Amino acid sequence: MPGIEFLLAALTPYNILLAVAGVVAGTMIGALPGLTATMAIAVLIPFTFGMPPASGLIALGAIYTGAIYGGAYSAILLNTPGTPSAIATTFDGYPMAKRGDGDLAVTLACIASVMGGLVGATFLLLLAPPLARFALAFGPVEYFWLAVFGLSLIASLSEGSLLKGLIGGAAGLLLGTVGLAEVGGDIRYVGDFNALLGGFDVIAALIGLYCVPVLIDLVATPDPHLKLTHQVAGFRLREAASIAWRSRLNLVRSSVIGTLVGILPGAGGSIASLVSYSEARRVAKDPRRFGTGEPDGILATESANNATVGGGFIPTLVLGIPGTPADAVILGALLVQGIRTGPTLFLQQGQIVYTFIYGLFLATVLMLPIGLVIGRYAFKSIVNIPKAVLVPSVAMLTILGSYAVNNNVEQVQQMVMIGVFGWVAARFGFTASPIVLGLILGTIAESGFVQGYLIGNARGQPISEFFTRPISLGIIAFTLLGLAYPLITARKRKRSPSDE
Amino acid sequence: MNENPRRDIPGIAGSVVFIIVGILAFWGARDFSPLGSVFPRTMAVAMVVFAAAYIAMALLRPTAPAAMPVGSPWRRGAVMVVLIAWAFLLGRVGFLTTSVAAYTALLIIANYDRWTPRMAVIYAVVGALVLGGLYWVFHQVLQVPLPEGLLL
Repeated sequence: MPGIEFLLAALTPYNILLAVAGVVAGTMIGALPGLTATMAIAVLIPFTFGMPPASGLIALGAIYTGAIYGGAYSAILLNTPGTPSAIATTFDGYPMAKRGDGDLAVTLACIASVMGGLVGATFLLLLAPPLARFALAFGPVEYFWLAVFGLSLIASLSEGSLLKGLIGGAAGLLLGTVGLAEVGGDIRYVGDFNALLGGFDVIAALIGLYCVPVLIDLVATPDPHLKLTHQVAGFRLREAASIAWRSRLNLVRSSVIGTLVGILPGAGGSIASLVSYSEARRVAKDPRRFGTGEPDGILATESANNATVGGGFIPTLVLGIPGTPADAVILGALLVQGIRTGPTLFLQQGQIVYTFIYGLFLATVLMLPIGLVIGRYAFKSIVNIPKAVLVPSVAMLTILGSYAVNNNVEQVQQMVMIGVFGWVAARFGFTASPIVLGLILGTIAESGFVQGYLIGNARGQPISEFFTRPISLGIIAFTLLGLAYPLITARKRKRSPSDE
Repeated sequence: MNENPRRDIPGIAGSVVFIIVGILAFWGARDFSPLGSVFPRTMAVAMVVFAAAYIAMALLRPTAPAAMPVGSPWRRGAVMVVLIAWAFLLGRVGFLTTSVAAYTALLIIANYDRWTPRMAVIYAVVGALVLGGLYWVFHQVLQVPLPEGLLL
């Protein structure tokens, strides 16, 4: 275990101040729909160039971890994931807020984010080199199966009809094929709309599918946006801590899943939270509660997405391969600071690296008080703001958020049109979540499938390539288990109705 | 359990649309390379099969259709029109002008209370603060080049 001197180096007043400022800035930016953790870091990175390397890295780590957590606010209170990592937080967070437990949901998200962040940082501190080798064992075939595993979540997101969920999932996967193909370079389904060459932007689609239908429905009645069943006096911290303690296994499992997915380059927080949500639902005593405001759903997704922060740093620091897009920006900052990443980094520049890791712990712990205070303020604001102010303000954020992704007006148009499509589809009984899931995982699934097929074909075994690798077999087993488990429990429940 | 099951006509209609889209997507993939066409074609076929299966199931086993929305359809329609107009005029007219117009329109659509001079002043001040604040954050702090268009 690295020495106490690095911990003390991280705990200087200057570093603590940077960590506080970083968490606050990151949380605020992450809470705005469309502004991702990557954007938060990219915008604030120039401020770190004049700092000592370890302090600059602590500031960036704090911004990153704050932004990932901040995404939960709008996911819970507005049904709009602030960052793609928070997509699965909407599944149970918004129903909780609708029934009057929005403050509890925000506190649960804060506790889970801290827990996930600490687990990810612990893995980074103790197990970085061997885990980086695990990341290298993941090839295209494993990515394909990981995407399929994520897609199996459609079964649990299909409100009312599995078939409708599957139709939505297929539609999302098909939408994901629009534009320039990653493998082969075909231009698909673009027609004369050159704006679609880059495909549908996931963030614009997320904002559109989740936020626009909420805006459309908000104005239809004079009823308040969120119920308030009690006086907002505290953080409901004791209640949330009690729930988190009862679900400690879920928290640990989801944090470990988040760390491991974070290690995989390109996978990121959205997949981590979807996979952990799927697992939490699979092992739950009553999976039917998921999607209706189940606290375990929030604990799973928020711990997993914050665990990807520490996990993503593992390949970034050990191999120089960024685990997430935000890590890619931080990698650039490391190079500017004159830090050469690689297997010898922990030996040659241990002072900087270990101070940074302890600084990440510091920022994560600070997120608890900071997150609770900001969360309570956000909840009270959303509850008390009249609809006449809330609707145009949120609409403004959706327009700005989708524009700011690439400074592109056409993405705003995409966002609005996809949002209106999402509202219409919901009227026909086709919910947004399976479509979003297909859109997010489609690219990973396709490139994994095509690359895996090409590799297998070169070896003369295109099909068996997908079914013979040990990690692939493990993921396939989990996928099948995830799909079969609800059927098995339903059958058990039928046999012994007294358990109900 | 649905106590009054009937045919899910909206679900069937939606499935028909998805079948048409699936067929068009399959047909549209004819010019792609073999590698580029395998995934969209597979997804198109899957979508058609699932949609056909849903239609068959809905005809054979009536289930509850999706709940119809309650509330004012006019206000809903107006929000859609404002959002679409905002998105398509943003680049041509300019961010500030379209945002002031759209913000005001949405405020009027979303308001259910009786207008009073006091309320109008408060909402105008709040609106100016929200618009000005967000403009300042995005334009000045985050350095996002917001579209200026013909007006501003």
